[in-house]
Amino acid sequence: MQRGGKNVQPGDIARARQLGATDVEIHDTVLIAAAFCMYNRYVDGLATWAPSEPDAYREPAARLAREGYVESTRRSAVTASGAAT
Amino acid sequence: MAHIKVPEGLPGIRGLFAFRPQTAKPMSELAEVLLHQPGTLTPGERELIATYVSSRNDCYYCQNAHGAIAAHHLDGNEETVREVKRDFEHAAVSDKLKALLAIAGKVQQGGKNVQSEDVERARREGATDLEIHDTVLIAAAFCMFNRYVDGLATWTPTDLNGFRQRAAKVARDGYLAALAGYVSGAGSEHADG
Repeated sequence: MQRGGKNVQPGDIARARQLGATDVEIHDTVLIAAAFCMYNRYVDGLATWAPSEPDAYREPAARLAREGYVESTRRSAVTASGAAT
Repeated sequence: MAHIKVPEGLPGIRGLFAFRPQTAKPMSELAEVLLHQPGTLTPGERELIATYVSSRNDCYYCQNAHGAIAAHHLDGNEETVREVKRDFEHAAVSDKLKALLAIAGKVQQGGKNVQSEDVERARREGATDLEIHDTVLIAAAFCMFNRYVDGLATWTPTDLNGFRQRAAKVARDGYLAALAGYVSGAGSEHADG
């Protein structure tokens, strides 16, 4: 998937099914992989700043895991607009 | 036949959107903002970027669907769409759009391929930060849409007239209205497994 959608073969799907994967699980796996081909290019294509210390990711990770992505993004957008004014 | 059981008769991404309305809605909202809502790049220019990236990713459905929408926005000029896919540096488009297409092509290969010179060229041709941002995100988003469509082996019609008819509707009404036409309650239902 990461290299291109056409690389997914019927054999890959059959294997996932044999191991109990549902159609929704297969769908979501493909879409998660595809979405991260977008997010990765977005972040690197605009050469964004990224902290190098692993510690910097632990606190945001805990918040994201607890609150989910929409609430966490809403909160940081509010903080950012507060900082800008 | 698609790898998963999607509703019959809906080609490409539309079958997938009908299969999973919860993800169809945010994906269509993204397309609406990037390609349809008013912006300083024309919808035709933005659809050309989407078409070019889809062509580089060899996604038959996306390059024909968005190529037809681009042509519709360009008063039916399919030749410009073909030129952009073949060799955009010599296509009948503005120097600014050529610089943005060059950035889009780098993003398609991987985000780190975008060099400062690519961005400087776009700025020199008059591109704003927002236009550069949106170009990168359109290119990145089509690396998602293309993989989504091909990764699940969706059905694609070969009759280009079907793409032209659909394009006129999408170009006029936008992506959210297009989705509402065949997926009811997108975003408010639960997956039935």
